[in-house]
Amino acid sequence: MLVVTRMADEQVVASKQKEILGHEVSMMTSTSSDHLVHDKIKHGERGSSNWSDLPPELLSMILSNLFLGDSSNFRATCRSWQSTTTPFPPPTNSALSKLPYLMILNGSDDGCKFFQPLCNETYHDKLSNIIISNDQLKDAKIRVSKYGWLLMSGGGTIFFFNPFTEVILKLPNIYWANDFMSVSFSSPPTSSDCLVIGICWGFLHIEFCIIKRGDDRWTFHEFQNNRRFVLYDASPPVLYNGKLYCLGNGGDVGVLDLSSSLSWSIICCCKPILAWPRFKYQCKKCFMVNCDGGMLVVFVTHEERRVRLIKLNVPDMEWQDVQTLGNKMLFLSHGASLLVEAVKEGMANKIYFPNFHGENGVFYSLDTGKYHSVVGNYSSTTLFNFVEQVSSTCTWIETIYDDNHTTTSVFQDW
Amino acid sequence: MSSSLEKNMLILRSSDGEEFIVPEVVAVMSKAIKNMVEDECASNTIPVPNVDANILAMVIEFCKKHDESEAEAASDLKTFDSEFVNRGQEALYDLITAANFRDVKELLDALCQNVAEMIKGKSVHHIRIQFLGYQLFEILTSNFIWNIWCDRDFD
Repeated sequence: MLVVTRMADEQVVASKQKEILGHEVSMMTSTSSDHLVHDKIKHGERGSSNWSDLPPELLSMILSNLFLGDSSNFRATCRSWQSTTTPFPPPTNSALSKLPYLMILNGSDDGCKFFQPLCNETYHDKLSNIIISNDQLKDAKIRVSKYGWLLMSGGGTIFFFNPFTEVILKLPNIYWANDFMSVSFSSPPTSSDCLVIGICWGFLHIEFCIIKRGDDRWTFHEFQNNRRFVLYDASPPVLYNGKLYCLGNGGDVGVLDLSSSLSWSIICCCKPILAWPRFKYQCKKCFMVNCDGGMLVVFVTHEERRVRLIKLNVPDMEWQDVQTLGNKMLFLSHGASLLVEAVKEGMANKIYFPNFHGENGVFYSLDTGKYHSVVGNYSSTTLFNFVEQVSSTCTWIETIYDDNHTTTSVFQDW
Repeated sequence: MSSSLEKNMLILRSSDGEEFIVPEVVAVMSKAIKNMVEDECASNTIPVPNVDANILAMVIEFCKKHDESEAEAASDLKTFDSEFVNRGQEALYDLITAANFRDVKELLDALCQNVAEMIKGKSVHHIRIQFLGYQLFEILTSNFIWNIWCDRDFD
């Protein structure tokens, strides 16, 4: 009996052990199978859709619609997505194509650099040999950038240059082209109604040199400078409703009416600026840019310590202080200033300068009142530590492709 | 088959053998097919390998709409695009590879934009779950059980 009970006990124990073992075995199998599944997922063998193996050109097309946080999240998702780079030039219709690039000429020996501040990426673009060996381009300065074209002058010549199609469009000679205080043009130089306006400023006179597309001669219009208007040269004039608005040094604005009878008038100093003590001595740079219903003027003091925005409402010519840009971003440079709608929430209400902190771009946030580097968490109240690009070789450029332009010749006539 | 049909219509055969009769203007929105037609290496039927009937039907629907509504307002087309690309993961993947393979630029743009919209504002973990098939439950449970298994005392 004892033996039997012992046997029975052993059986029970054995069966219990079996149970435990069985449990363990099932657990083991479950974990291993789980890991198999896990591994399979890792290698993307699950289902027919295999996003991690998309071709790189598709991944970069997707990436061109993502910025900052989103793009770094995208890259961190899996290994094959990690090495994806944004395409340049950006594909049409992508969010990237709506943004301006900072173009830096002579950034490298055989071409130019394009910097995209929102992705903090730099692209090198090679220019063709004909363009590089061209003497005109070597010592020319960028005067204005608009519609994807650059208006450049140097060595007594003035010409348009398109860095994307690599076309040079030479204007009729005017030997004092280098002495133009500022230049502007009304529409893309390939369109028939393009008007180029150069301004020569003197204490007693102010002269406008104008040429229309197709003309072989410049026309000159001189006005008395009775009001001692001092033209501010660092910001290109802005065209608005057929009138050319030129910024003066003291914060006053000169208006050239381009209708049949040319007329020149000066709008007096804006009061908010006069209320700013010692403004004339402090203000180092000002920029003017089109915005809806008028002109936005940005005043920047020495070392960019203070940034101030003032809007000129055009029909009633009234000045108005601006505290916020709303859903817009501002890009400032000597050659072009642009007001662009933000593509992502975090980017709105910021002003991008053509300065660098190491490799990183720099913006001024109107929310914090400070300068920040795009990447790297550096912030400062002044632009002292940021390297500024030489103004005559860099400008913001809208990446607009001239689709109508099919001719392949590099040099074209006006 | 009449000659007029031959001139203006093309027959596309999907990978699973189904045939679609499509006007040529619609079919040549795919650059790959356009090249085939221009090189005259296409006979009456053009095989479209790697694309099954379901996806091919979708691509054709998209191209037809874009072809018809050239004159229509762009905003209408945009809403159509956004509705069209708003699909499940699998269909989206098949569409995007089909569009890339057949080189349909408009469709590719719309799809890539849609994928980007899906990624925007999501954490890495969510992107993994959504696109790479990781499942939160699986990751958690497998790690959990694995940890228990490793931490056991074997005496």
